[in-house]
Amino acid sequence: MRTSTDYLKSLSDGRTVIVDGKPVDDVAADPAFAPIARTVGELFDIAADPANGMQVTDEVTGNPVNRMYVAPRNAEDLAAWRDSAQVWANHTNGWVGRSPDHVGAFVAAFSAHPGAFADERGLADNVLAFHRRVMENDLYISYAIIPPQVSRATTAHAWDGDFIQVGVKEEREDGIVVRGAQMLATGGAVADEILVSCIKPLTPEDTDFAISFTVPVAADGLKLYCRRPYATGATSDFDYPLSSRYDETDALLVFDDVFIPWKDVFVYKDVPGLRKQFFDTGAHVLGNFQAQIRFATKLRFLAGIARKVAAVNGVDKFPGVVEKLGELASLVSVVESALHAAQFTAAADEQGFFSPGAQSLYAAMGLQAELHPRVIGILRELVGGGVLQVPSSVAELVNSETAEDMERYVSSPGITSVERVKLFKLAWDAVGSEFAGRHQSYELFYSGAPFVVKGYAFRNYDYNKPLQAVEQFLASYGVDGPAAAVTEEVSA
Amino acid sequence: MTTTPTTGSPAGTATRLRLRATDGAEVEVTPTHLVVAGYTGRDRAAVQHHIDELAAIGVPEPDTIPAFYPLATTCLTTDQQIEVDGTKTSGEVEPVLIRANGTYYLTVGSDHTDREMEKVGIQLSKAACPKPIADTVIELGDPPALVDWDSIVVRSWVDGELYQEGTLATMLPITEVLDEWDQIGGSQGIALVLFGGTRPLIDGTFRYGRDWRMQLEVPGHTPIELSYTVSVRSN
Ligand SMILES: Cc1cc2nc3c(=O)[nH]c(=O)nc-3n(C[C@H](O)[C@H](O)[C@H](O)COP(=O)(O)OP(=O)(O)OC[C@H]3O[C@@H](n4cnc5c(N)ncnc54)[C@H](O)[C@@H]3O)c2cc1C
Repeated sequence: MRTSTDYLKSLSDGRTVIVDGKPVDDVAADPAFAPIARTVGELFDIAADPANGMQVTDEVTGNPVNRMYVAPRNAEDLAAWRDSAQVWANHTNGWVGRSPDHVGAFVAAFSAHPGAFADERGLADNVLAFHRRVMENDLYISYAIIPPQVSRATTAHAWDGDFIQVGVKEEREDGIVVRGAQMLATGGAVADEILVSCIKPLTPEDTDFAISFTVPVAADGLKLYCRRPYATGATSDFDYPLSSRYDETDALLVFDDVFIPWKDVFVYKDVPGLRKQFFDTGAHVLGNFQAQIRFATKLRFLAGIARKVAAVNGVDKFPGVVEKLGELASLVSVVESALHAAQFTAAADEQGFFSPGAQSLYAAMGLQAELHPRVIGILRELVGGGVLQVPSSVAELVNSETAEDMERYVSSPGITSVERVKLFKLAWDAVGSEFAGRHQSYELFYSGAPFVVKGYAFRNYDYNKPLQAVEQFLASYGVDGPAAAVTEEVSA
Repeated sequence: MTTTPTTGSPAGTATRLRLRATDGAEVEVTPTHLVVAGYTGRDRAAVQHHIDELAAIGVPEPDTIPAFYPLATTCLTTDQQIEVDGTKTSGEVEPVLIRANGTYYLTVGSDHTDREMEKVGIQLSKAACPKPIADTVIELGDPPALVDWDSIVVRSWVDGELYQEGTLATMLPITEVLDEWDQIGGSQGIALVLFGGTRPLIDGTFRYGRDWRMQLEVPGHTPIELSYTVSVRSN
């Protein structure tokens, strides 16, 4: 299987990733992207080691492949799949949202439902072949499936200027030429390919934009406009332990007439087909099951920081603090429990794809916009000003003129200044740094704006049952019931 | 290698196929007709384009689209070994519809074909080789209830290497191919085995291997498998 060496080497392919007004020479060597590339490489190394239990035999070739790229067919598969997702999530402590298993899960589910892509052009076969390519080569796919934020009052066809959102500019015998932009490929700068589509509802007038395709990041005419990288602002690992490893970077994609061969096209000028690919295939459920496994892992890590800080500051016996730690425990457990429930209620669909239970999964997702800020809020409260009562950098801890002050004034009972500062700098990178701020937005938006995600929760909850309960109850009494008697009893 | 009772029955003796339904029930079929369909692409314009391309290099146009090649039922076999005369023969995975016993069955077969002879005539090239089919079938009932056709995936391997893989979505559903045949062949009421056409090869070049494996995966069912070995008859 692919190792970090293979992966890192493959990134030097002439891709156009723009930072500070010009293309980056080589992402694998650039200080903004090398750290996340290294982290992703480590994930591939973990999967390539059979000891980590992430491999499964591809029945078609007989070769070992990463289980995350294979659609679960039964309860045992799904349990093993979850365990594998956990192995990767543990390695990043949940701080990498778009590890290769996220879109990998989407592609796995696509492959179990090729009929959802079927049309006369053979798009279903393209999906199968794509899945095979991803699985056999351990590809890292990122995705950009949201139209650029131009105006949400209308959709692409009504925007000023042609092809603001990426659309089909030209159809050729051998493929299509696309032009326009799409937001916001997290990890795109260090991925192999990007799946480009649109999950936001379109109208029949948006047919030219109703497409789904994959594109190599190095494709001619494709530019990635990156937001400011945070890894370069990290003065050291010690000062910014999260920014310096896990900054995935997010990029706006601009397609300046990019040629996409037919084999890489999965949905073509088909508005209903866009939704079918995500929702009739189970891809949205499986991909977000992975996302919640990752999310729970990150929450656990945040709870760990909180627990440790409370102990270091000697506040962890105060009832008010115990209450906060209890609330944190509840919040983390709610997400973990939703994962258990989604696994418990998982079932095979008519295609034999074993899908996590949607009600439980979307229940957790529907609360994420409240739950994550609350967890961060509690942690921010518990750390107090300690996250700012830290030296500007690790230098103060090692320079002889300053180290003594640090040891005397910035330490806590039982731990050295180095240990204390290390912990509080980690806490700051989790709640206060620019990286942390980006994570707040990420958790709020990665699977859609909160109103969208709550829509999933609504649609995947069977309201018939509660309605029935209320109807039945309402029908059990009327205006001529024994109300008076009850009132008398109560007042007696 | 000689044939077993299921194949190569002497002329005039009926070929009898002993099959098993996916629920374990035994199924016996004595087909009276075997028809291999070609040019079963769903996109008629693309099919015509392909025919025109072939015509340009001298391959005669088929009489009908889809094209039908009736063969002797004695070509059918569920054997794990087949013998051929040519050295350039290869398999092709195809869905196979069987209409018999008042019901319909779906299985997988290989339109094993002599590629040298293809230049002489398609019918000849097809007739030159046995047609292996799996011994497991999915009973579809009557009328045949085709599970989601577009999601059916077929695969073939030659000598352990993947040779074909894809859905049947670009091909006419086999029941429609059958309707076309019934209009031409008027074969209602007979025991028919219909090969429904194949899909492109992964790398576009024929392979003349020894070990063939074919698979038809209907979503929600255990995949139906067929494996056979080819040997060249020595004379
Ligand atoms: C850090 C980060 C990483 C991301 N990574 C990716 C990625 O890898 N791939 C990808 O495809 N996308 C990614 N996204 C994009 C993400 O999917 C979108 O942010 C999300 O879908 C919301 O779309 P939007 O940002 O355009 O918000 P908008 O749709 O513009 O909504 C913003 C706000 O406007 C209001 N609003 C808008 N429309 C309505 C309405 N109809 N009803 C009620 N209120 C409304 C809501 O308050 C909403 O929260 C990422 C986003 C972030 C922040």
